[in-house]
Amino acid sequence: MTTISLEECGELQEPASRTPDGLPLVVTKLFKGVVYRDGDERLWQRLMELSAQTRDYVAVLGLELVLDDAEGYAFLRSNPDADAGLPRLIPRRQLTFHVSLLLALLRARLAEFDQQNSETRLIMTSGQIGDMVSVFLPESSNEARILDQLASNIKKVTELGFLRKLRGQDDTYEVARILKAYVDAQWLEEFDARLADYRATLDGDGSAVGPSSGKSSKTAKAATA
Amino acid sequence: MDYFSINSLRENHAGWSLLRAQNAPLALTFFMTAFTDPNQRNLGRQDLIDVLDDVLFSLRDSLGEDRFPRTAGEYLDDWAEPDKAWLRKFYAENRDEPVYDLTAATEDVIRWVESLRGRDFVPTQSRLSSIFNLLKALVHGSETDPEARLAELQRQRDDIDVQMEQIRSGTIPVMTGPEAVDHFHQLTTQAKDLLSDFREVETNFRRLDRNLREQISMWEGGQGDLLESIFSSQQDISGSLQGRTFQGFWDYLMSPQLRSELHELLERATQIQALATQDGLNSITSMQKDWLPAVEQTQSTVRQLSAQIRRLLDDKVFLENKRIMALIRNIESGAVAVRATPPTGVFAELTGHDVPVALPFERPLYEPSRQVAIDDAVSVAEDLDVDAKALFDQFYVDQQRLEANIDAVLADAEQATLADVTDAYPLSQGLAEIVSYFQLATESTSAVIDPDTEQTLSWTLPDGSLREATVEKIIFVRPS
Repeated sequence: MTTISLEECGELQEPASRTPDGLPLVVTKLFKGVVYRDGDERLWQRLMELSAQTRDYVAVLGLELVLDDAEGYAFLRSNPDADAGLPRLIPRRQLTFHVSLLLALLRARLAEFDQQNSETRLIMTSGQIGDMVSVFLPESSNEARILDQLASNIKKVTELGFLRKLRGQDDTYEVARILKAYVDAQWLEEFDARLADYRATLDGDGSAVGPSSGKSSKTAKAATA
Repeated sequence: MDYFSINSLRENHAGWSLLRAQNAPLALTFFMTAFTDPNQRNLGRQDLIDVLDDVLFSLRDSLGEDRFPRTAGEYLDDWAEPDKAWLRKFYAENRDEPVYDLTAATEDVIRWVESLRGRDFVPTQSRLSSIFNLLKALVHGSETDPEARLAELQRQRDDIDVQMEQIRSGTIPVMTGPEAVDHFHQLTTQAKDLLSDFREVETNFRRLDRNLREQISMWEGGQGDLLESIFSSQQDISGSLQGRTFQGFWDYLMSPQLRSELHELLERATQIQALATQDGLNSITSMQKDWLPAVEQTQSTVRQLSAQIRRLLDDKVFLENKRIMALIRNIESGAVAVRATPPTGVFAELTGHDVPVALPFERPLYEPSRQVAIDDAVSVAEDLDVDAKALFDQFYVDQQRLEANIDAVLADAEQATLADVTDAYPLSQGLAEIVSYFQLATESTSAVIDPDTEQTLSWTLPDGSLREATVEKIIFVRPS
């Protein structure tokens, strides 16, 4: 044991010549969150130069680098091929149904926008977001509650980094293009399947289903009441 | 054009709607002030609001305050609405404030309105000669027969020989003054037209882009067929007619030899004696400088449009987008079905995009709160005659009344105890009144408090019950 650590010390004595210039900065910035080209051109340049080294480095931690030069963003995610026993470094965020739905609708909006428009920035006001979502909200006489709920969902999506409030403009948001990387076909497939399950449970009214589904149908009934 | 197409232009064309608009003079004045006169493009919202505010201010000053009721921002928003489309509003990279530019239709209207003012001089001779030059370029440039080409070049050489001979023999044909002025006007008009044409070129590119996007989104077949269809029909932007002529123009302008030649010619044009009195003579030397940013912008638009089309056509994106749209339609119908009873609790998960590293020592340590300076100046209101004491003495015992009671009792006797006084004038405020009597006694020189003897005083509460207090005896003496 002692010898190994001594050897390590010996290697560590000249890290400057072994670590490429700027790699610590690139890696730590990626640890902290998404790196955007627009955010810091110089950091982006570094990342482009060092992408191979960065990839190798984060692979050790069971992470992989996702880099989209065309869209101008890069981030880390858990390597799907990594050992299943590896503890998860990147946490998963839990989303309610309405937040998930909002993400899916924003993703659709972004796809349509790209197909119809030559601009790269999709800007939406909270009113437009509200119009987009309102069809899917329960009909309620309490509009204030619905608006509150919408506002809190928008806030949640903003926290997740998929909406960005524009400076100096109230209630105007930019839909972050990185949404495309997260809300992909696979995620939507899962969403669709889960929603189909839920509907089946709802229709079956809790008969001949497992305990967890039975519970959810009960809550559903409670919500109707 | 038939009646119907003209009518539909009248109904739908942004330029025509601008001309028909009530506030067209305002809009046009503003567009000229902000965009065409200083030859600026892509202005930020705040800058435009400032310019429009200036315009509105001077107009309201001369026409009356209520002439234009809306604010500058509202006008801007209105003019950029898709149904008006007099301005193009978009978000540029790295800027959170919207950016505006004139649309090609608006530019046309501005030019037309400007031309209505009439020109005091219309160049005609120079036009004819430029038509000739164009025609020659067209005919000779398209000639494929080598004999004919050679014959033409030979003819030009003979022509040049004749001219050289003329000059050697002393006859130098110089352009007359009017001729020079004619050509100069033609030159400046064409240079200006070229500049405003770029806006239309850009619009054409955007239209091509839109058509292409439409085709891509409607495409049912495979991606390979789509690419083949796009490239074989040259519908992609750089392959289009507009794209190729623009590229030609760009190459021409970028050729160093032509640029220096153009520059030299422009320099020399300003030296021509016959033009010395013409307005704007010196500004023509900056013609190239005006063109470059305009061309550059068009060029970058094309680059950006092509890049995005390429991205849209990227295999993964192309297939994924189709799949995603199908999935989302499914999800939407599912979500409508469960609208009344949406799933509660956690429904889905999404990975985060950071690796949270918790650093205990990054947490701030306790820090004593700092003194905060508070401005406690209270502005005093006008009502100084209101007695604030009433707030503090909610239970007010009138000491003067008590003094008067004592005096009245002492008028009949040399001295009196507190009990005598309260017999004559019963206590109405209970203990508070007694305390006040004690206060009077301690302050007065003609009263004695006897700590050894006691007196019992009584008073009646408003509800009829009787209260008693046993206190030290006070003796009031008539002051001598």
